[in-house]
Amino acid sequence: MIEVVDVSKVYGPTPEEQVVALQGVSLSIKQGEFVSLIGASGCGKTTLLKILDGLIRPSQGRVEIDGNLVTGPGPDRAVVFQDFALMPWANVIENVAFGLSVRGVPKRERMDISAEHIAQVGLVGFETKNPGQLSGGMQQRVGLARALAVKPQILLMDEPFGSLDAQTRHLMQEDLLGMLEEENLTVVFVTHDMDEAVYLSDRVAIMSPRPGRVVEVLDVDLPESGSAEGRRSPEFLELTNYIWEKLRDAVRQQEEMSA
Amino acid sequence: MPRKSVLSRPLPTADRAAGVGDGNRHRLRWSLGTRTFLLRAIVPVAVLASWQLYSVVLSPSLFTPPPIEVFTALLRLPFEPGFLEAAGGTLLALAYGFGLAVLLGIPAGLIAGRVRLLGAIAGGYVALLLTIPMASLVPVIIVLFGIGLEARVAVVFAFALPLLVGDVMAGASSVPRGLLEMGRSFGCGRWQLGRRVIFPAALPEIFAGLRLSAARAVIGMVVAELIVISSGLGGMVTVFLARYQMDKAYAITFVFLIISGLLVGFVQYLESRFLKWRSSEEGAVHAAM
Repeated sequence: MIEVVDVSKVYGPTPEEQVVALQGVSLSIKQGEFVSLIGASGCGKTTLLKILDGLIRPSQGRVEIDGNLVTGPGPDRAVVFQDFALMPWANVIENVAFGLSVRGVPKRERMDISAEHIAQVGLVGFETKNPGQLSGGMQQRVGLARALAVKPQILLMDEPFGSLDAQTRHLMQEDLLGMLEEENLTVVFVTHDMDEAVYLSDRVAIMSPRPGRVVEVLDVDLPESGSAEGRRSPEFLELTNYIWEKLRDAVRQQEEMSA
Repeated sequence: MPRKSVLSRPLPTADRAAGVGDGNRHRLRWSLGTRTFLLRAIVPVAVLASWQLYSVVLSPSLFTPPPIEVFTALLRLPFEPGFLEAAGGTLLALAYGFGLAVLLGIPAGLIAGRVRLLGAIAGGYVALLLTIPMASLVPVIIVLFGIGLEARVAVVFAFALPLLVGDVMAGASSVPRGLLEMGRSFGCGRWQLGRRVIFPAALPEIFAGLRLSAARAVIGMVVAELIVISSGLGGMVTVFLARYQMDKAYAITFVFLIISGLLVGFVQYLESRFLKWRSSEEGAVHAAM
């Protein structure tokens, strides 16, 4: 469904100052798949996600969705942001209805659809609250409801649970899987947490920085996750350890660079 | 016999702390709001009292009418022939001048805040116009516009505009990038982004700018009145001075103060209505954590 063909992204005015955020990335994502992009900071995973959404144009290469070239954001894709990106001046239901409103959906319809998705993410009763009155986990649920409300085919999630504490994060991961059972979405999920990647995904694309590229794509062949025990099974640990081995050197290098 | 330690004293209950019960029963417990108001009122009351003392007892003179006389003159002012006309003219100049500044300044500031090149140019002018004493430009304005309503409108406009544009620019250029990305990802074009994300996000700064430039507009109005003395309230001041009716002349000063208070108060009222979400943020975020 999604074809990433030899995508490169370079920043910088002159060759000396250039940063190669992505180099020669190719990836195929099937319909209905849950694919994680994992890697140390600077590996280009967020850049790749933005290119998939059409927010950034690649310097080279292209992205095709069902054969159509991606040139900008579109109704088939929706993003969930790490910092929630909610409008503080609007309440929950207005935030959820945002994408629909931009598209010109009439008010009655937008409010009905939004109410549905607010219930789906478990925020009934909070429709008239402002984001400032909600906890981090609740705010991200609003972000999720907003993305689901526009009925995308592809959900692009940029470290959505990165700002949440570990307990809330676990809960959100379980809830996300639960929600996705009902939908037929293709999900591209950026994270730096191996546990999260293995828990949620069908496949994990391990990325490496300088230059940003995909090093390996793992198949996650675990029995249907959704239980706490699933996170501790030998197969789970094997996978997460393998990913960590691949990432460790890159992460250490990043540490040393920023020290 | 060991002395009683601090630990064995009875813990202060909320009642005792509030001064309710036992010996504190008869002490009045005013709310924080009341106490603040009373403390704030001390200064003006002291000023008025010393003024009264000075002009009645210490140095009575034609030129220092006591506040009571000024106050009564103020109350009688609406019945003074020509006052309503003059006040109307002055307020018209304020309304046109400030209104024009708002109608032009907000869109200009929004655009300059988002288009880097325009922002760089505008920013320079704004900084310059804010540092020079605007009153020094009034003679130039009079040369250009004469001494009628147009000149007074131009003066008010010149006083109000730079600050407003500066604040609107600051608001528009500091919209969080995440929100802009979010808007674009959900399909906002340039105009939609401006209307749905940039403008509401910049609104707090815009209101701050409106409050301050409203005050500056009134200053401009007063300056215009006092320099362009042919009509309006400034003209009345001249007439009163010529007739040695000092109490009435001073009363006009208070009229200016009242106008200022009303305009800024109105802007603040609008601000509290449109920015309700700000107060709900501060308190409740911590409660929800």
